[in-house]
Amino acid sequence: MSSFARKTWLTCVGALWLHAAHAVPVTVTATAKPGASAENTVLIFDPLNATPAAGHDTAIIDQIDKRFVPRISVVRTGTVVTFPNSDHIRHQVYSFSPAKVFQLKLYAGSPSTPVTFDKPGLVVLGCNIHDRMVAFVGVVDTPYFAMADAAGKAVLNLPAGRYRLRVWHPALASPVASREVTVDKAPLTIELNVDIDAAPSAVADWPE
Amino acid sequence: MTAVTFRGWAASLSWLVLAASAQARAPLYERLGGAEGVAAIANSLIDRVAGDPRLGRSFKDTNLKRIKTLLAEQICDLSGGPCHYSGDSMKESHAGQQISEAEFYGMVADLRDILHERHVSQGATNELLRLLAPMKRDIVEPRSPGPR
Repeated sequence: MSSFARKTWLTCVGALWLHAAHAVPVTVTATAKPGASAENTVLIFDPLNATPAAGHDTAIIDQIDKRFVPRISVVRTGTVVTFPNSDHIRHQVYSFSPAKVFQLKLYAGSPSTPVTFDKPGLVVLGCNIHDRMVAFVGVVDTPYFAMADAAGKAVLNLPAGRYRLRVWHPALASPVASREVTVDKAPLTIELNVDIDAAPSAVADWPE
Repeated sequence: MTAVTFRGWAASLSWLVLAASAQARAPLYERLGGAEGVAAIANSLIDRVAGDPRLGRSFKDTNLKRIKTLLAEQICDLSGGPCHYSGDSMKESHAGQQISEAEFYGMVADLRDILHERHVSQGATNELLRLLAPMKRDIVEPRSPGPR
């Protein structure tokens, strides 16, 4: 190994180690009322003392058996979302949400133009042809977000600092107040109660 | 006969023929009942096929209200009414649905019944079916195995 290659390698390992040293595991557990599930509760950590660099992420929302997959996504502002169509029939995806208004015709077997979600907020997707299809895209200005698993749990690795934690689920019966969270050196555990409506009549407001 | 007179004669003859046919019968759109009649035909047809166990499968989970509006617009456009069909082509909208010939003719039979019930004349019925018939090649899947 040349001395240059060794130096580069060591720098990389060093950078990784530094990054790992700064990331603190934060475990969030969301608990729903009996009979409801906290799965897919969206957890957003907005840094209060740092501005994260803009992202150039990509995401996919597929159409499978007349359903959007995934039904709930969280993406960073600027993410380019591709809408393939795994069904053999066509779909017409649309959004009237202020954060992103668009309409996209999806024909079976022909790729469509990707959509850039360039403004933060909640985007509700529908299909003109199949009116029961619905999906949600939360667009956020932070790289620190997660969705709770079937047990209501999510683990994030966050750099030390102060954050505002926002919580959302499409079927929230009452909003969860945003709270300030300080991440220090020690692993952190956050317990949340979420009131998920098993048969919601409307989409819960997005926590701005 | 000079060319000019001949052209003049031919023009007045074709004008006469047009005037005569227009007088003989109103535009198809009017004979279907205008906006109200066409909307009622489209609504009944979609309700009937969507609720028919032999024909309803491709309408499952679809926005029937939208299909009714677009079908009315299409019939209005085809029959000379003041509309412009804004939907997808018949090929695009039926692609992948595996529509069989039996399903296509089942819907045609329902349309015939509806027109009959609405007292649309036989002439107008045939005229409408003649306008719709060429769509079969874009709707029916070649060698379709039918409903799966």
